[in-house]
Amino acid sequence: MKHKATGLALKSVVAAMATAGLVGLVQAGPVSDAMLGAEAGESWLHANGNWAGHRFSTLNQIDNKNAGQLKLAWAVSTGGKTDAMATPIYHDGLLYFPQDNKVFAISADDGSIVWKYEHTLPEDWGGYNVPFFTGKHRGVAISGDHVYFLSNDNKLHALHYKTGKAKFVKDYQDKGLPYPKDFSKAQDSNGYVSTVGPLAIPGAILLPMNATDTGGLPGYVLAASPENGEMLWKANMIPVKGEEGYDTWPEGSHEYGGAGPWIVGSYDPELKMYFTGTANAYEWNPKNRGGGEMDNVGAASIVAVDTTNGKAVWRYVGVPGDPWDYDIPQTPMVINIDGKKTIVQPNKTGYIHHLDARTGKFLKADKFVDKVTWIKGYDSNGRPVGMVPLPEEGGDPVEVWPGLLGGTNMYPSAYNPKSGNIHIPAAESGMKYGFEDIKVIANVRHFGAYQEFIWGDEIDKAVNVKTGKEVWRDVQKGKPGYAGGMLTTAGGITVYTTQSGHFKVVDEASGKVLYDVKLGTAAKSGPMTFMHKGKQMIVQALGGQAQFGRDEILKTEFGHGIYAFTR
Amino acid sequence: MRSLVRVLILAVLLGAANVVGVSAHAEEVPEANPFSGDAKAIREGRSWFRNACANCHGGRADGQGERGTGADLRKFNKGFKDFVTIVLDGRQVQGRIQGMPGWRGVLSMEDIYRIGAYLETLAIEGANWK
Repeated sequence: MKHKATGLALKSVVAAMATAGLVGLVQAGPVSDAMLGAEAGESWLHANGNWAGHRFSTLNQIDNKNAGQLKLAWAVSTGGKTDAMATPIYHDGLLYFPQDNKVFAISADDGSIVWKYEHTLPEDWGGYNVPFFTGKHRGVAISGDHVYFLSNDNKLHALHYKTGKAKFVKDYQDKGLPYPKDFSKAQDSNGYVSTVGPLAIPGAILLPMNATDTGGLPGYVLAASPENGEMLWKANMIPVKGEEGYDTWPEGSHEYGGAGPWIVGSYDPELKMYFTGTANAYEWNPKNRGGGEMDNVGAASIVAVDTTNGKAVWRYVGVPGDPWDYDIPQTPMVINIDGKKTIVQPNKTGYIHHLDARTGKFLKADKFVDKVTWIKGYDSNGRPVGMVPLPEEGGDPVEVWPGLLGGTNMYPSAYNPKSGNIHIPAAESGMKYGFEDIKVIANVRHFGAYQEFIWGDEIDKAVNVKTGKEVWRDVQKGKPGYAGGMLTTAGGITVYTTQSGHFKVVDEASGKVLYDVKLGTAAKSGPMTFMHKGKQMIVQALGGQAQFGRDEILKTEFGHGIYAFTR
Repeated sequence: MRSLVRVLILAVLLGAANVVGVSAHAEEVPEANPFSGDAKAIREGRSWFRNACANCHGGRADGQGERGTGADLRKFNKGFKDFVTIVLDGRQVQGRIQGMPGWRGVLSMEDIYRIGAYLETLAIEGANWK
């Protein structure tokens, strides 16, 4: 394996920054815990802006009165060969962006690539789902002097933020986390693929080991030392013997049950708890894990982890027995509602779930898409009621809405504390879903299920978090898919890029479109903002394959670009 | 010495294979799908398709899978033998990471034929499985 960092005129960039008066700003230099715990403003230090996952910035230089005057500041391509899923982070003059097992440091001055770090995957990397996952990353973290990158083969790379030089590269295979191997050669080709970015908290870098349905594995979140990458704890998403919920799985099915922590997740510094949404139960066909009759707690769940010891504090299962591959892999936002610290998660089910952050107690579920048929609703205990009968194995598929791509997918929502609005990249879509017998090759368990999509419109919308009522919607008529993620600010704007590549700035309160430019390819990541040399900039990374091959309808092609806008 | 003998035997076998026009990988692919129209084989082929292929090619084989974009196999028009070759070798898409993995040594030849027999039943105008 090779790792190399290339410095590109670093000295001149640093000198230029010093001349411009950047050196000496509060936000310059190593990233402290206090900086990590602040709201996003001058900097953007977490994939989702802050620990609470709000994707809200306190900046207001660009606002709902002047957003129409935005101009392109610069653009750059990383030459990406698969979907760009990461929201860049910004610190001290540089943006950091992972793509295709590389990390790019990009100058906010003009988009120049200041350094590039490359990681080569192992030679025997492979397996049938691997081409889908390889090269995708949903963020990097920063803490102290280092940027933390989790490569697809589950290695943590600590890179000096100014040079890209690796302080360490840590492998966790000896912690029970193998990577997937070429299934035509390996006896056991099943393994973890990491496509999620790490989250930096005081004293630890949290690593979601997510892609568990490459053959059936249980999901974990690891905590690693920022100093040397040593594992501090390993939190199991699926309950182990002695934990509540263990008996919601048939004996033996826990070990291939899925529940990969699919998103960066959120953190509350007072509770010292980490919150994540987990992926579907595995196999998709539920026959080996209770046939949909057992809850399979931990999968399609929100899991809260005590970050002092890695133990699960609570698990709430949003789709008991998950027979629909729904999973709920959306960011559990931590929002103070009427004095109660509340987990708020718009998710695939078509509902926004509210849970007590301390206890996991279900508070309510607000429907946010027009058409939901898989259930009639949630009862007061947070259990689905009136679920449609499951298809028979080998029989006809059953139509349900939303489809397995969800009312919203993993593309992140945003929360604006000034208005109380949640901004959701939503869609109206359904599916026909059927079960087959389950095939197994080289310890890779296949899905035993299949879907036929029923496409509907992308609908970007705002919902009031307290009332659950829709405030506005922006319908992308005749265009399926999801926006890549949302950003909202104290300037009263919300920003997103549609699946068809339209970069939009809208009025946060009314949804009125203030700025709209087609950037030419699909968005799979959300925008972010920061202050650079006295000017607020908004950056959108985009690129990849338009949602499930809808190029023709969306009038786009595969491409890549990172675009910076300012006034 | 034994390994040298093995190499020589292998060389002769490969040479013979070339002479008779079999692929370098020595799979004997019949001219036509032996399972075409065989209801039992089609049912088994459907099961394999839905486990191993539908993730990318979609449950309808229309190229709309949960894991990205496979070819629309309802319109497959390269004929049976090319179908088998593509399944065995996979397909790379220039400039992209995501492509189709090769299934040589993973799926049996018979199961590949069964998948083909199932896909023939989904063919729409312009398809060719001959």
